[in-house]
Amino acid sequence: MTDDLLTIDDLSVRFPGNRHPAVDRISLRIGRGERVGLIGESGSGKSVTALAVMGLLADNAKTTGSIRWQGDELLGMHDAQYSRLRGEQISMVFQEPMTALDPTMRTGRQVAEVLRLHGGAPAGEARSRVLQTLAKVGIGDPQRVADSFPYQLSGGQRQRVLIAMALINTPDLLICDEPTTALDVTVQARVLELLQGGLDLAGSALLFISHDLAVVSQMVDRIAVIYEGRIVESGTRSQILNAPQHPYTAGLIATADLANVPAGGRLPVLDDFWKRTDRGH
Amino acid sequence: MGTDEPIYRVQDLVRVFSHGPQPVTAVDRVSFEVPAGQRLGIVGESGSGKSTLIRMMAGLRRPSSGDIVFRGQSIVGRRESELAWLRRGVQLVFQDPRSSLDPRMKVADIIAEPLRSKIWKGTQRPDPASRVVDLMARVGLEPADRNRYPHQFSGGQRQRIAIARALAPSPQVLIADEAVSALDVSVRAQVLNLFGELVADQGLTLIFVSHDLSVVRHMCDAVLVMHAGRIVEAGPIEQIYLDPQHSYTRQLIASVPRLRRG
Repeated sequence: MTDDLLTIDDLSVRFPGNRHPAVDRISLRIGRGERVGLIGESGSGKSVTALAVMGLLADNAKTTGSIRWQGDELLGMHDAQYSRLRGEQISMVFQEPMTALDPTMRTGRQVAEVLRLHGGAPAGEARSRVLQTLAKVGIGDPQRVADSFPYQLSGGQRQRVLIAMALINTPDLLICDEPTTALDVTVQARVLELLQGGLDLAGSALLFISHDLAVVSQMVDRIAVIYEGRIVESGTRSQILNAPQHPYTAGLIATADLANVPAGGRLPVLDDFWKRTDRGH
Repeated sequence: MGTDEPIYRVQDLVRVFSHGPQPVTAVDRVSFEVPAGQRLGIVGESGSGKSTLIRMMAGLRRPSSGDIVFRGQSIVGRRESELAWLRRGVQLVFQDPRSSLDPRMKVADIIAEPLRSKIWKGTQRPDPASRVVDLMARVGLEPADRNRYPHQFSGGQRQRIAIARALAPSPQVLIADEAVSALDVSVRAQVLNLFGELVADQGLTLIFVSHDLSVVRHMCDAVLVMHAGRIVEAGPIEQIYLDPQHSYTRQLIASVPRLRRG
């Protein structure tokens, strides 16, 4: 018996035509209310891992191993059952709010749809729940935002709408994939703060995926480092950042810590710590 | 032109966009000078006017009013055919090399593109083939890869291609517009180091636009902080980083994500 919400065991994901697996025998556990970061570079397999958990991988992906949700196996789960899980118990915020929202539908209706799809509220009540939720993610004029189309909103507002959608059903687990990478630092800081507040209220666990270790360290208690599809190191935030065991992790820390490097001069680079293996390209 | 003549003089520059329901003043009475060889940072968030400002400085947009003087001559109100010296002298590197590089062109052709342009009419045009080999080596790419296509390179390498293209006409000024914002943090330092080396080796003037003040602090001597189309604070970078006067500058500094080690 465990208290794990999500248990990933020996998960591998391969795409046809690629010599190397995108995800290579990774294992990761997330307990109830726990906040875990998955840090890695472009192409490391971090987003593929998230999509595998969400059951959103392309049909040609070949998946082995196990992903269990509160004990139930997700790999091979029936679509109808998976759909109920998504958005209700597990939800996700993607990097690009412009592509994640339907451009032809007013944002309020899109938020309401998530609510209704998951057996939530009748139409009249839905509207007020939507406005409340938008207000909770720091949107000052929820009426106007609900009646706007996505293109009429700023990047920060769109990302807040997505966070509202992801949290409206108080999921047990929220997965965020580079949720602030497309935003300015000032907007990023505000969105991260709102996300923290939203998670506190909903009591949800978090899987936070990013290439930016400084951002990850603001959000999570545990960190797993993914490199070329493998988790090379994992531990508490303090263990990983103060006593990294893998030289690749040490390199990520050095490159992320711009604020603590003296101005001017040469910045530390990953190569100072870790020589990349020439895998593929 | 005296030796202490700044390379750029920007005076009372205004740009109003009037195609929306209400006119928007993107750049609002901005004045400053850039001494030759300076590394100037321009910081501000989306909508602060920084991108509109540098596009006007590069002659890609026309100001509504005000003047821009490059190397002693105004660039405002001139026809394209009169701007060859500006086009050779000022080059840009954009944020996203995925969209700024033509996916159907070979790397060698991308880098040599500025050398094939009309801007060389009546002047000595460098030989593209030898220049490409030279430039690729200088930005840390393998000249042997010159017949490959952009998608065959990583994000950091694609930005090196864009930098090589910008250096092709031997410009005096390099303008980097959020040039590392789309890169992984782990790749960012390599590209910043490359900018630093190139600017020092070739005595370039660098105009480095970013929303991240901690990056600007590493690259620049001086900084302009823009907010809602105006310059709200300007001066030497260390002074502003350590002792910001304007509340918006303080907010920018506070927003920089820092490693939380505890």
